[in-house]
Amino acid sequence: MQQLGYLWGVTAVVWLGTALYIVSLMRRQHKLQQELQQVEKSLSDLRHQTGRE
Amino acid sequence: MGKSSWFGVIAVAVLGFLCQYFALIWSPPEKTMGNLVRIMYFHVGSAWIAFLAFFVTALFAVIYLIRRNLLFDRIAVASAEIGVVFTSFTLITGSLWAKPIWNTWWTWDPRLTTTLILWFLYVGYLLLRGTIEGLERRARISGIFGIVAFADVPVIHFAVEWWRSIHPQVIDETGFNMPGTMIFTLMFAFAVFFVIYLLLLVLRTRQETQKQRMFLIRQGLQELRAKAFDDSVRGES
Repeated sequence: MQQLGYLWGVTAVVWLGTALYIVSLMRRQHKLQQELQQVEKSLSDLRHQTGRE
Repeated sequence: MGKSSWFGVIAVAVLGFLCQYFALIWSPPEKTMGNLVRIMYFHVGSAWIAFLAFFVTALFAVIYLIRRNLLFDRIAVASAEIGVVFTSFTLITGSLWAKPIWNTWWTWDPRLTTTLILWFLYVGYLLLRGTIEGLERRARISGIFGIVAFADVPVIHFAVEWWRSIHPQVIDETGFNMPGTMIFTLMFAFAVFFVIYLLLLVLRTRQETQKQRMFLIRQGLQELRAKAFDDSVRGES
């Protein structure tokens, strides 16, 4: 079939683009989880601080 | 990743493989464009999903403005982001289709231009959200923007009728301008992209919910810190 390589390239834009978007979602999720751990740490620090007083 | 997530990934992979088979092998070539017509399944499928995504954004923005429940705002922003991704696919695949057919990557055709405007409008929507303080205020202002921006979608549809355009019309008043096998492949591609859209919408909405929760927890933490500081100052004096 003619131009099959070009056609695969065009369709790859959609599939790779979707995969990249999913990777970006996963990275953002990872960052969110790190932030959550940070907040939990701050909360326990605050609890210790108020407990001492 | 849980069992259901793996099931989703495998289902999408199988559907994607079938879509690729129908589009690149099973469907027939076209008289004038030849095999290049196969780009249509990805280009038109992406465009329809983008329009659907922006419709969902506008719809949930309206529901938010009536009900004032932030869940609707979260669905609206999730859908807008996915819409921008699919509009990008539409513009890129359209450009890659235009080069061998029209001998140019881009032309300021009414449909192409209004689609590019749509992309800018919803990128603007996402950027606007980052500049507004307060969850309710942000939801209200960006919601109104999302509804107004959706007015561009019917303009894109009618652009080929209102102005002189070289862009082909897939559907007109007589229905689909193509044989049954091509209609089937196009609808199949649309169905596959729709499943992907739904999965992404669920994932992105969940993430937005966690983001908003995190924002509220941080806000609460700041208030607690301020209160603890006040108490300690009062205790010293």
